Amino acid sequence: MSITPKQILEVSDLARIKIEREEVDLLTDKIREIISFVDKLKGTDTNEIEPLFNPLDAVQTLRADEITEIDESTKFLSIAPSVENNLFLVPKVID
Amino acid sequence: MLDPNWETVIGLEVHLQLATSSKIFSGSSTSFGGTPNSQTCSVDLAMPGALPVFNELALRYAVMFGLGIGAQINKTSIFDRKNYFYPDLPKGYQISQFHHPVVGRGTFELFFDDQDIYKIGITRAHLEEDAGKSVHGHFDGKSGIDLNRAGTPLLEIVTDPDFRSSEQVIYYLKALHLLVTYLGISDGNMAEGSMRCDVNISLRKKGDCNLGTRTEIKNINSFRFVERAISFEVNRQIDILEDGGKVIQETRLYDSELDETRPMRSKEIANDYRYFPEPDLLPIQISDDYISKIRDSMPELPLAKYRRFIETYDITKDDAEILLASKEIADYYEEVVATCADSKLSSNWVQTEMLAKLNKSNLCVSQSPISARQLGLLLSKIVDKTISGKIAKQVFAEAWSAEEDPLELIEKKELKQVDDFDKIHTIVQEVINKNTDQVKQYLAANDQKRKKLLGFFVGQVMQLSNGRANPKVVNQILNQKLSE
Repeated sequence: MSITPKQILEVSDLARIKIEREEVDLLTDKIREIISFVDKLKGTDTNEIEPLFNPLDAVQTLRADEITEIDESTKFLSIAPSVENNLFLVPKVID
Repeated sequence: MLDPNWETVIGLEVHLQLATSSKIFSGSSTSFGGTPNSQTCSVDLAMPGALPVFNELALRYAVMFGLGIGAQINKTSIFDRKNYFYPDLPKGYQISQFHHPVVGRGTFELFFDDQDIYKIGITRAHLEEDAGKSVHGHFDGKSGIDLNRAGTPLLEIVTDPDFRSSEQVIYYLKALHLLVTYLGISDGNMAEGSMRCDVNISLRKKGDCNLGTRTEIKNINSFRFVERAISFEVNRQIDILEDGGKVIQETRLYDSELDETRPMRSKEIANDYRYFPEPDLLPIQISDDYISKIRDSMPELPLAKYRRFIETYDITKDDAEILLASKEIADYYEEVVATCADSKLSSNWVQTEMLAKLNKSNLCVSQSPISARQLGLLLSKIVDKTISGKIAKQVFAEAWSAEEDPLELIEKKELKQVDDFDKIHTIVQEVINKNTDQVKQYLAANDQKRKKLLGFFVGQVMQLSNGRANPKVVNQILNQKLSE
């Protein structure tokens, strides 16, 4: 699998990581290298191997359905950059 | 509505809020309508270092749903991260399930139909967390974020593209609503967003086996809007295809005010969610024992109840459908039957008196001023002929508005039906004495006219007895007296 400079820009947009124009070619080359490394792993025969969901040999512990948290919104709101009417304010989002 | 050349193909994704008290990964309350952000903690707000801990009840509810539709329950399932940026999702990803959902393939059987059972394939149902809400108001060009809803457990139920009309979709949604409320796993309240629906729509030429390009309409929150959104979108796609154009695969939003769908700008390019296994949560293991304990505790499901009602209570399909409209109504009805032992009388009364009154006063069953046991006892008075059906209706209406016990009302108002021969005899005599003209007419009349006049006498007797005289006895005595 290969990657194009255009895809690098798309991924950077999705990840909200700003990339300068002159960095694109360099990053494309570097990520190509990483992908070719991953491609090597793809060559491994995994037919006989059970899929691994998690490297830890443990399963999820479950919590009883109880309300254990108290209202600490005043503290949380006090560390936010901008609030009004108990709401966190963010740059306008529209759909 | 539909062009006969085209076939509509619809698949649904329903997001169902599960009725847990606390959130799926934190101990914050899930209740609706609280002060903004008062039900949030460090986990819901994505504070650095805060880690999720999975709520057992959310898992149990998902398994209950799976068992309810006879689906495969996956004994190992895992959570994945679905990455996207939106202010109501503070982590920058949603914890969801992608490759290994809790509930695998199943079948949903629709039964509220005169035809055979209609089957909808369920592709999967998986657990995930709900996002917060954006509030657009007068915040100086900014949006407000309320994260009370963030972390509410959701079960996303995905169907195969098995629907061919909006009617079928509405049918399914109503039946799904019924199932989840019977199971008690969700309140299913669409207005409060407990049940939200994404609709995938495509068209194809009649007889074509391949699926056309689909659009997805997001987050529709009422049955009516589902119907309208589908209708708009189908017509939009027909127009495109008939003009020789191509439908673009995209996510659209239904605007109920303009009654139209339009593309969602923010989702245009962000369709790569970069799923990967959630490192903060370990795989979920479910034992056979866990599943069988849940199976043993499952309540009777709507379809089974429907069949039982028709068989045991000897009522029609239509009656059963109305009585099963909610678990509360069904339970109420069954208690009435158990108290008065007359299933048909109970069915009539629950429908024509109870439900009619409830609808009129905009109340739900649990708010009824007359309990199931009280209604059952009232009906048992009709069954044992203590009162007539007509009097019972008066008692019911009076007890309803005065919020009194119907039986006490019967005692207090001396409404018991009068069967006493002597008492009725006295009243009949009084009526005859008062209406000598009519008696003469009666004696001179032919059979047909006599019938009419007899009705007049019965009416007079009933009036004098305040409607309490047993009509059978009245007729008997009148006939006897008038032939003397």
